[in-house]
Amino acid sequence: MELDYQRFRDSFSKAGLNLWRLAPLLIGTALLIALITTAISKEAYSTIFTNNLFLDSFIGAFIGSVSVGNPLFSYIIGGEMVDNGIGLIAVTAFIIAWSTVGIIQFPAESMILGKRFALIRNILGFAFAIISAIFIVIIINILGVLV
Amino acid sequence: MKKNRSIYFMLIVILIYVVLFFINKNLIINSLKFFMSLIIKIVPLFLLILVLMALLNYFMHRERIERLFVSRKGIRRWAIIVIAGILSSGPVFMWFPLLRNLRKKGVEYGYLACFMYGRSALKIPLLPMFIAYFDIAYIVVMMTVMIIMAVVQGLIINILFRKFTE
Repeated sequence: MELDYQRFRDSFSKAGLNLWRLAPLLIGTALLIALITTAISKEAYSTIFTNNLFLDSFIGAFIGSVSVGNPLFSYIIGGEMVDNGIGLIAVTAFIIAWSTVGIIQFPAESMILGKRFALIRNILGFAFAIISAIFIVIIINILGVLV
Repeated sequence: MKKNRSIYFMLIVILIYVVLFFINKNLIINSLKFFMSLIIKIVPLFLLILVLMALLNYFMHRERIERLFVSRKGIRRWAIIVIAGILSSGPVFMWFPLLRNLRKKGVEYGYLACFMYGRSALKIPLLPMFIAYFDIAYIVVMMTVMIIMAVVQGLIINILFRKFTE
């Protein structure tokens, strides 16, 4: 297969431009994470997340659904959430819902692909974020026991 | 427009820092220390992310994805669509026009949903960042469950839409 140098260069500059555009968002998000992590004590999170399998995954999925941005941010925020003692189930639901449910893109999705499709897809996405999070944590626990 | 909004967001957060500095100096100093440790952790990963994004941009263009949607039948078709979703890059709304074209060509809604879910299941260029924060075992389990869910969601949507059109 022959390498198309022009297209290769274009691919790099497109990727570079995408990352460059993300830079202010990344700096802003990192500053916010730093502020929230420093200002809010780890104990305060336990008032929101109660280690209830369904409630925690629901809250995690809800926050993920209304959050906007590149999934990259969900990994950073999710990682910091785990470091702050928030349960893996809530973080997992949060990360999955962040990328599978699109409240902000809903108008465009429903206009281009149909309202019924967009609605069903997003509702299923939300439900699947909760179900997947529960499955994932159960599997991780089983693997942990086996290891 | 998009770029400006990002800058405004960053400026608002900086403004919050400036205001809080006069209220609680220690909080801001500790936050900035935390911010620096966070930046040192994530910035080097961006070089790797850039290379992976560029490679995907080069190899997985729209025409190739469109061909993959109609090239196989049965389980192979689902598998190829999930993989196409995983390998596709850029924001999801960028793919809406292509998905609409596929729909007009008779591709069922479930396959479109499967592609969109597959996109979310695994972002290869972002893997270095994911690995920096989570265990490999957790990531592998999460990706596997999400790939299965992509197909399950596609199947459910196909069944629902077939019932709607009956």
